[in-house]
Amino acid sequence: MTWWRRGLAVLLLLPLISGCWSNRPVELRAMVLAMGFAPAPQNRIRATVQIPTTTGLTSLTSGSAPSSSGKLDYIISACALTPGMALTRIQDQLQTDLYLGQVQLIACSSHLSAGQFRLLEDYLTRLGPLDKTAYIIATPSVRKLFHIEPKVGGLPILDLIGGFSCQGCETIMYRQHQWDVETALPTAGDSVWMPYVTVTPTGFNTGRILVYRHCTPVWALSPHDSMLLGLILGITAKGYVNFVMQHDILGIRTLTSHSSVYPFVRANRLYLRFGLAVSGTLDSWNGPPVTVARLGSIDSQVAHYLAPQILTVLKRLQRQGVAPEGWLAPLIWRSYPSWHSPSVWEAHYRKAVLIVHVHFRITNVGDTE
Amino acid sequence: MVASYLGVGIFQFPRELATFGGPDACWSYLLLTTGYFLLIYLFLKIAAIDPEHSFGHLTSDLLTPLLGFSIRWFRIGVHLLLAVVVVANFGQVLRTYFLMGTPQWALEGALVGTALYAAWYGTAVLGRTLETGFVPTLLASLLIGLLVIGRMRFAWAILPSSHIAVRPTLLGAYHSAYLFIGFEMLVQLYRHVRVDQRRAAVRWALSLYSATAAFFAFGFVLVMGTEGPAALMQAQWPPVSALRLANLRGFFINKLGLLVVVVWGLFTMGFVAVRFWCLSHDLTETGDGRVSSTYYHLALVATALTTLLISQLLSNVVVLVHLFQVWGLPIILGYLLAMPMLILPTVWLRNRFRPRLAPSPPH
Repeated sequence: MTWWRRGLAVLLLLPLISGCWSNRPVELRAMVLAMGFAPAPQNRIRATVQIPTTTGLTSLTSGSAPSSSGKLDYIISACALTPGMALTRIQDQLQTDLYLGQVQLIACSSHLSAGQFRLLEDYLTRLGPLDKTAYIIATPSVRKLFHIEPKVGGLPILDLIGGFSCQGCETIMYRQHQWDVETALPTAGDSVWMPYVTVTPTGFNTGRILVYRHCTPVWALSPHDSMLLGLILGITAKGYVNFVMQHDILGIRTLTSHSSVYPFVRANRLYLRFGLAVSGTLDSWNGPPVTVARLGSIDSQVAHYLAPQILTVLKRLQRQGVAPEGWLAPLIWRSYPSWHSPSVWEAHYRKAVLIVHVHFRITNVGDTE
Repeated sequence: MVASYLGVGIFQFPRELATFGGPDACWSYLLLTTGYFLLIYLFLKIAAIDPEHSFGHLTSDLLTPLLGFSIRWFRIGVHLLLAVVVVANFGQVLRTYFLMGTPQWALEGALVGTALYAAWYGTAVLGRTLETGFVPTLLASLLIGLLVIGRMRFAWAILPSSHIAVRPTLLGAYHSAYLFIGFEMLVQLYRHVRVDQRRAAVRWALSLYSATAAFFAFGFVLVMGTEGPAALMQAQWPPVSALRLANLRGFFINKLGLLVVVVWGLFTMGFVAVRFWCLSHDLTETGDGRVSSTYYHLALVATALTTLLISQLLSNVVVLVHLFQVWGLPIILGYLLAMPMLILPTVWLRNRFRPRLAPSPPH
């Protein structure tokens, strides 16, 4: 091949090697930051997307307050039988390309029917460009979540996302990715759970967990129960308990735990053994000065205080047939496929014997004895 | 050599292993890799019988000319089928995750064109090209794979079950057998290795195979651990789904895992290029294994065009996988098992009664 033929070939091939010919410039793209799905009349799904404007995008990347008082975002919603169709209706309202490759938060209404939730998860699983590490939350009102008043710092939804990405910032490290939900859903012996976010006049209220049985939300745990479930799952970062111990008030903070679940079958009966090693900082104590002997008694008192409460949470989950974080999945997988049907493993689970061992230790007493 | 099998299963594995093997998937994989090790060893023995002549000549000579002729055309069919399957599958991966707006033929055309170019200058150039690309890509895949390890929610699924159930183990191994299909072209390749390097080549072939088996074992651990068996069975391309989790915030390419998937296009290209090389050799080589350059190039273009045309008919990956599992796999596996069973005893009998064609074993 002569040199000019090579040169010509290179020139012809150059535009092709980028592999980005189907890409569009950012001003022609409506980059969705967060999207939400809620039920609508006639068994339809209402999809809502939040698209930051260029001003909103700069506040997103720089983290500083936008200089101008321009609009930060626009929120569009539409209804249809399937989530994909609803998003197409949203695309109809836009003159730019609706792009889901940068979605960081997916909000599911806790009022979605089981069929709608399954349809939604199936849609999200099939979606090629979606980032599977987007956070997913449940909320009673998607509309309120997106229409919260913006504060000075920029888009409010970013605070929520920031809280999830910050390791140990919140009471419970309970972020869930789309990936976690879509893998838990088909796994026998596993149940979906999500952070349950409500909206208050001042902002978001986090710290609660919503558990699902298959595709139906069955229990929105109170903040205290969520903290206990967090201890069971080993994800509580800043748990707190306070109670009266022999006329003295006691407060323990930064409760964290190492936990293990061991399911086993004996004499055709399922047993679940939970072992929790909890530790915390002595925070408030109006009793006599702390001595070694007293520390020991505080340790066992806290364990005695926590264990029945943890058992109550577990029993309620058991009654509802919910096994978050795949408590039973390893056992069921080993017996594949005999226990795989939900009716079979749930029946075994509901009759299972729960054993809870809580071991507590104060690891820090603060600045004083 | 590695290119002859690496491209075919990299996007699918280990779906069938988990679906059919269940908790015995580990044992299935062990069975599968050991089985292939033996098969590769046997095919290397076949290659060493008569390295001076083509494989077509060998089969015609040992078996009957009619059988030799049929085997030759059967092999051509097999290579074409493999090329088509891989091209169609890769086209669909690209269209699902990256270039939704680009038509299938353009994506597949680019792949086929690159493979054609890689195979154009013959054996040595093709070998060097693949050698340069494969090692960094494999290393990058391993490194990116390490990023995903932190997300292993289903690590329990990796542990092998304590009682081995025979049926699922066999089924898992059988349905995952696509993983190393295509290695049999090493019979043809053997002739192109210099005589003094042949023993080393055999050692390399077997150790590279073991390395690839270890690479796939790592892939199994990674994909099974992050996706869990149930989600994995539903996923179309499980390793792609798993690698989508590898993202580094703040790095200038944040979806790093997907980058690796694109780079796997190199494996696919290598696989297809080797297929083309093989097809063209099978089509044009004469009895003494020589190939005329003009005919080789003509055959290359013809096979590339045929591959591209047939792959256009397979517009859906569900159809593709179904056809391959129901028809392709049993036929090709049957052929792979039948060849050593036919040829090696024939040679043995022949040497016993007519010690003319002395086999030179690989060791």
